[in-house]
Amino acid sequence: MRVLVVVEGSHEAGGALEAILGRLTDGKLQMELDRLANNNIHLHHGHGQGYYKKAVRWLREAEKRGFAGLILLVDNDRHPSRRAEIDRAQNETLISSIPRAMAVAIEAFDAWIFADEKALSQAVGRAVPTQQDPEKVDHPKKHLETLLQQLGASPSAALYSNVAQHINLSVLEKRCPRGFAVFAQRVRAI
Amino acid sequence: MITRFGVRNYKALRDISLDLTPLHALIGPNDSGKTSVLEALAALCKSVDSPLNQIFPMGTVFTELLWDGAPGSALSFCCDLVDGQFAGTYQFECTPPAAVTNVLSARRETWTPAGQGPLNLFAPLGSGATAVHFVATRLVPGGTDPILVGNIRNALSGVALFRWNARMLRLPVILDAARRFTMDISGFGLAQCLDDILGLDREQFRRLEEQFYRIFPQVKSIQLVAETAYQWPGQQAADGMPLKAGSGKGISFQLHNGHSIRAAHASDGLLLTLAYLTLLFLPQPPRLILVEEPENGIHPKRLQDVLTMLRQFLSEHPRTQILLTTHSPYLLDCFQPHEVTLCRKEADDSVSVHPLKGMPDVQKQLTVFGLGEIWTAEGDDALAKSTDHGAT
Repeated sequence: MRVLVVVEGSHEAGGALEAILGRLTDGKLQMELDRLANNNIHLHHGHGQGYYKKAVRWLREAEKRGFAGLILLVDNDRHPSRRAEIDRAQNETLISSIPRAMAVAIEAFDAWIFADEKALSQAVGRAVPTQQDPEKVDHPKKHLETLLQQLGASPSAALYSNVAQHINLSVLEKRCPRGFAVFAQRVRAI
Repeated sequence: MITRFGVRNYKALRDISLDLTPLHALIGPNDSGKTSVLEALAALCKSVDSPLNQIFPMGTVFTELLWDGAPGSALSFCCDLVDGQFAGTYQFECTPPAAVTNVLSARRETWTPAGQGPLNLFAPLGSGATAVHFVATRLVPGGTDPILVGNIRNALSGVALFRWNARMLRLPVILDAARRFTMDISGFGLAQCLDDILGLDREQFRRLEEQFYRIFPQVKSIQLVAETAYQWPGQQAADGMPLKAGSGKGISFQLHNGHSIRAAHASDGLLLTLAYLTLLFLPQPPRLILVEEPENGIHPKRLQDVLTMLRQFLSEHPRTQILLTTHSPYLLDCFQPHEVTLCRKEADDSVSVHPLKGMPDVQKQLTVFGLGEIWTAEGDDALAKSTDHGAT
């Protein structure tokens, strides 16, 4: 199945999300990535629920490009209504009926990278202590940067990708029930 | 009001017809025929009260107007119009005399009452159509029903085409009694128009000011001041010649903070908004107002104010109709699909028109997006292809 994968940040676009998606679907997806901020999409110029409209616009874009499905992941970034907007787009069938898996990482994709400390330990080559509830960290990117600095490492697309290949998906679902678990369930159902 | 308009053989408008609404927008890429549609509409309306040499844009020769220069073809313009109880189809056609390329001398006007003509907009004579004749401003003696001619003239007379130029709107004007209550295509004459309104009806001028202050609350009053001014441009402007100077009137804005701004230093948006208001507050506003790209120089939010103003005006003046061309998605957000027609060039360089109301994709997306958003996201070609009606 050929799907369009739309992501926000450079780290998830650098192979990490593809690795997770490949594992969630047993490699059945043929993926092409694009960035949420792609200016050619002409998302909107003003009013309304921004992320809902963005997500619906990407549904149309996936259809126009001939994809069989759309996967879209965005960060919550402490926004009070973003999950509701993306959930609404997930259930939107009037404008597009293309299969889709759209979800929100709480509060950001980076939280998934330190949710399973064993995978992170393996990637950095040093023991990493169990981190606090990943979905309660307000600034996961900053938290991970600090953690990696303490371990003598630095965040990079390669490190994210390495963790993603070894991460225990069951652990991730348990530790990130509002973000990753929802995403995984929607990806498996696509 | 013109409810449907058709053209044949005018420039790239080889054969089109489109439904029109009281406020209507034409969209499409550059060189898609939008301006030609405005010019053709203006020609149709002018055909009822102007001689042939004043119907088409100044300085053009017939072969340049004719689709593909096709010899022997006629330029045809046609409209369904409704004006109170008066309704029917008016057609204007002109044909060049043999071997003459820069003169239009043969013309034919016909009228088909509503419900009596064929469905085809371009009705052949003898199919319920009556020949009516306008030559210059006089009726051809004999055979023509003067009441019918009067009704058609009354329904179509009074068209104004604008391609606003802020530089021209700013210019003080040497007052010209022959041009009272008029602006030229660029907007030159704004100061005189305002002066004419003030001179005729102070209360009307006050209403204009009030509406202007609602949009620009920093302005306390609009003043018309004596200053060095310029003569109406005419041909010397087209030739790039300097305008003749003399004594006249210019516009100045008195602000609440005590400062005043002369039109020369005022923003484009301020002057353009004032120009629209001036048009709408004329004692006899044009029956058909045609505006090219009204968004130029106006902030998107202010543009919405202008649209609100135009809609309010149309609700109070149901005999006036406004047709705009635009490239602005912000402007288009203020329209409904049935008020918009997309123009597009086909492979043979002729223009096709596509009403947005017939596009299922547009209807579906309106639940989420504004019309302007849909247009920019989908693109002209995708929208044109999605129409059920196809090219007409």
